[in-house]
Amino acid sequence: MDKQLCSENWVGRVAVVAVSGELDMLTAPQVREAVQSALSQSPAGLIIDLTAVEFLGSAGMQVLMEAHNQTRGTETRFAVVADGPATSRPLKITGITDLIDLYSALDVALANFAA
Amino acid sequence: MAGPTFSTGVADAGLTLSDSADARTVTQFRHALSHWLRATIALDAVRFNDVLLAVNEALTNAAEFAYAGQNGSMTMHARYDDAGRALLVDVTDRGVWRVTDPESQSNTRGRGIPLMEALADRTTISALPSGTEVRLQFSDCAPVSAQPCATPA
Repeated sequence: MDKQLCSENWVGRVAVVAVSGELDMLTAPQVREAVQSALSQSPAGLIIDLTAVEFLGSAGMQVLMEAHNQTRGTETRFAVVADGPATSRPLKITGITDLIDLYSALDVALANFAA
Repeated sequence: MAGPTFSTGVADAGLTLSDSADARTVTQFRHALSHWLRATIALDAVRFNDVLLAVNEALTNAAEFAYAGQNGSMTMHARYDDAGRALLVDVTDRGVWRVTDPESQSNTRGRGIPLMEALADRTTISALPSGTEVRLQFSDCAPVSAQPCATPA
């Protein structure tokens, strides 16, 4: 039985897709689906929360960049929550943090979206 | 020379796995490498994830590109080189990576090779007659301290 990989929660009109476990070639399609489901509901903001992610591969980074491309130029704000050697470090190394807003904790991201 | 005898089998010990080149195998090989690393190589949390990520990218490229939808196999071979004090991980497949036109690279893809090159101390990608080989070298590594064989007091 597959562990629950991602969940969708709403804080007001902000959709939070929280991912847990490993985000690699095998699991990226599920996260892609969850992100598409959230975006299809026209949120005011989308946050992909990687706090509980233990491993992030380039396939997962691809999902993040797709979300960035889809929200760029729209009224939907987009940010990623990540902290640590498995997540925020690769995002910095690949330069993704130059393109995508990164927060180290979900409450900080939500406070920023509400402001 | 007096003193306890330490196991020096690390130079011979290695991890070799072969299976079909697909996404499930990428995950399985990465998990197996993780267990082998913890038992064999002394790595801090940052370097440990760097190794896993670099190898993951080599495995992912093989799974994605080597066989263009056909079935094929890939092999991961990890070992510690005592003389060079380095961790070496080879990922080989028997296919040909598709050549991508850089002009058509979107911003969502193409991070695998830059990640390998940033995370490993040395990255070599070789197109062999039999397929493709990626060698990742992580320098200045030490084996996990071996336990001395029990000696009576």
